[in-house]
Amino acid sequence: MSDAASIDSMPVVPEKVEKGTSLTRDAWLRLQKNKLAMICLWVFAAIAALCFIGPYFKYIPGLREVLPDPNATHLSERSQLPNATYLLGSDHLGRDIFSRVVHGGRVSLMVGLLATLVSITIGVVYGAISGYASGRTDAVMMRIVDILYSMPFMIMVIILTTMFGNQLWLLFVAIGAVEWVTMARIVRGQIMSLKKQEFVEAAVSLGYSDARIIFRHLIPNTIGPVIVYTTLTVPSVMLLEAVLSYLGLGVQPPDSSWGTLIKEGADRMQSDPALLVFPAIFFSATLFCLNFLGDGLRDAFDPKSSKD
Amino acid sequence: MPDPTSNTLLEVKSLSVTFQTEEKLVPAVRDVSFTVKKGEILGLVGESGSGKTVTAMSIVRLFPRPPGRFDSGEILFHGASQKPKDLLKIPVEELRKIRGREISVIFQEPMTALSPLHKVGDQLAEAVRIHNPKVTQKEALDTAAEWLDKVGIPDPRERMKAFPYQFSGGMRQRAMIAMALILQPKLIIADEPTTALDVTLQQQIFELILKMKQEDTSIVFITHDMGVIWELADRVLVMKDSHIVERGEVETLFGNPQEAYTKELLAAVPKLTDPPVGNRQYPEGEAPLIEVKDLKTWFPVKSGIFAHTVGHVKAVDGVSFDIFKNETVGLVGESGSGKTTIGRTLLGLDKSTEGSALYDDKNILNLPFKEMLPFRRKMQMIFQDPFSSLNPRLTILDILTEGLLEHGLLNGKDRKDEAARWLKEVHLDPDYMNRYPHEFSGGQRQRICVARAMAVQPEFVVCDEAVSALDVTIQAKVIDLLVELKEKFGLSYLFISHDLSVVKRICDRVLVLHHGVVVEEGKTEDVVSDPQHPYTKKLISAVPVPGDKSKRARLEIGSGKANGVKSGDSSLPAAPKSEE
Repeated sequence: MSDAASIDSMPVVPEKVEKGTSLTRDAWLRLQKNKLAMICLWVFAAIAALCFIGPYFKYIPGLREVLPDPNATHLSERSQLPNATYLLGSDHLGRDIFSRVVHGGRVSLMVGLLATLVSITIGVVYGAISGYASGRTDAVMMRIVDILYSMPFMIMVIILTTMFGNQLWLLFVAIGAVEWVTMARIVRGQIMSLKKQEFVEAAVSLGYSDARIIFRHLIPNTIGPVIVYTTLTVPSVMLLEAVLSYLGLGVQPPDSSWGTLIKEGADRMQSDPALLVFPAIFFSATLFCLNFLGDGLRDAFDPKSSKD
Repeated sequence: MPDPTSNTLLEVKSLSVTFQTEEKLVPAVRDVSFTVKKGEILGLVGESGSGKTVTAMSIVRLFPRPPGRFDSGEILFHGASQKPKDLLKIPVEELRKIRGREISVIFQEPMTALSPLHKVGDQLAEAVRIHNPKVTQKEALDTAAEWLDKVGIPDPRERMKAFPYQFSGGMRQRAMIAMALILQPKLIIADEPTTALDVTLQQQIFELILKMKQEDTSIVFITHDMGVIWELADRVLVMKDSHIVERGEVETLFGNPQEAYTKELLAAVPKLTDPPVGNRQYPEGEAPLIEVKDLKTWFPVKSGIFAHTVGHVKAVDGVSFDIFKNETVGLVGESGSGKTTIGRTLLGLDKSTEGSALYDDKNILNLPFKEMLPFRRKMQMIFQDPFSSLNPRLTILDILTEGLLEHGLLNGKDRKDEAARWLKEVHLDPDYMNRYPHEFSGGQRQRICVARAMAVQPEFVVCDEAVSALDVTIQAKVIDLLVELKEKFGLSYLFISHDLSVVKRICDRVLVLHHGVVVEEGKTEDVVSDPQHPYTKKLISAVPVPGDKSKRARLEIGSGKANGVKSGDSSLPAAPKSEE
């Protein structure tokens, strides 16, 4: 410091203004050094890309054969082993397993990502308001969270499905309603310790509104734990969806998800193991990648607490 | 070379330590050699980042490795065993036996150095039993009580059943010291053990350390404060940029420093005899800018599920004072005296219980958000901790201009000009505006905090321990900056500090606070040279004064059988004696 001497000779706005490194960028640079996490990130990106782009292959002549209609049956070509036509073989109705896995993956990932997005948004905002407000507002908001926590999840889902029928959006509602609660608690704790920091008091004494303080000064500082928890929520939401689908409460035919595919495969495990093995491989690979990515992100955002 | 049968306890020979960061290797300690004799206090002084802590912690291998690593050197410890041991080479199991038993450490932060989940007595007993497995828990607890008594904790039998959070900062630090002493080690490494404490508590800790020295214990005392060195140490090592730049007997070195850096450090120590920075202002016959009358701020103590109030902590209990334009008023007191609460209450960060503060003929206490808004701009605050007072997710450009934009005093186009102007105003390079706070040093951050507060063009600024967390040389520069800005913009400051010598430098008038009440007030010079209240006298006498012979007197008495101390060096430093 104390570089006072040379400053007066400088132009008011310097021509070359150097770029700073934000904490988020720092974390990204650190993550890039973590090989396992980066491999997981790319594998997950590849699976996600395949699942979201794959269903549009039917409009492209050359690719149509790779991913045929997942519900088209070819009774003459049942239970085939992997070959040039059926990349991962065909099931007992002659449907293409690869195509079914890709289409099922789209539903699974969509449930996973959307439900997580919804629950994260609600959880972060709710937790931030509760933590910042403190006092009675906080007490009331947290008691509501406690009540939601104590609801038996399965019974709630069964009641919802019997009331509204089996619909995909119900899944989002049910899963979202459960997952945001934990997020809210995490964010609330973060905010409570952040708001005692002096930069928040400085913001108050500069006359910023509460909304500005919460959204601009507090929430961005919870990004580390939120991102980490998000990468751990996506797999747990996908697992929940799989469990519900396995129980017949989730995705209904003709739609399929990895959960329903695994259920179908489990029913025919002995005669047709490919039906179970391939969806399970994709599902596990996704969960594995997300969990390791979450672990890597935790280290990247909080380098001090890692390993050593 | 010293002969091992002599009184040498520890020899550090050309120690080098490197830290591996993300991109590059950073040397932390470069080719450092020194010895510690039996029964001496060796001061290790330097600013943050000079490598003093890493040097001392290397002795017990207590810093994270990786990223740190030893490049070269040896540390020979002449302990209980016949042959000196190289502490860098011996296996960890052997080192563990030495740690605590022969060498122990007192850490800086008493709030975090004790495990919060265990009772104080149990923690001390644990230290005893780990090194002496045959001792029973009861015997260990007896020893613990004995040592808590020795470090001056009243009623140790009862107090040791308490958890650390039930202890005050000073008591925790004393418990920490008891823990370091309980096995009667030969060497104690004290890493800024008093930096987090008030001056009066600091004196108590000094007494303890001198008592330890009398029992022939050696102490390596790390500090950034030359005043502390003067009161305690026999010899001193001055570190800068990972090197030892100067070493010697304390009195010789203080009397005749050789290196420019040592001189700079000595000159930077705030002294009660320092001339004020800038001109003193004593406005007369003017109307005050702010008139505080009978201010009371009580904090409710709550309990139960619905948090009802069961009692009050009277942080501020009836304080009245005026602040005039262009004036700097100091608030001095120990932690818990309510000085910070006064500043916070004026700014509306805490709610007042009673009283009024008139500003532009309006009581600004407990105003609703909308009505407070115009005053928000007129009153600003500079906080103590430069590390937590800047939002780590925003660039300096955003931090400096957000307030102006929020108050509609600036349109988006002029943002960069305005930010550049304020960076220049606080003597920082305008090139830095797109950087983030973590890319700056503590002193630079504090300058940014000053710029942020000044950018909205306030009339009144509360400086809450604004320089306490900074190194002494940087402290002086930030004070100069504050005075410069005050004179340029015609500001009034409320300067809150526990450090009378800093207050003396900058404040025109001073209020001494004790338990939420003003016990003395007046012009700074009058209060410092002729204190009336016993509490003020106590505060003044506790300020370390480098060069004041009387402050070293007890050291001489205490060092009857210590080696290394030479008395009678008549060449006292240039600093004149303080008024008595």
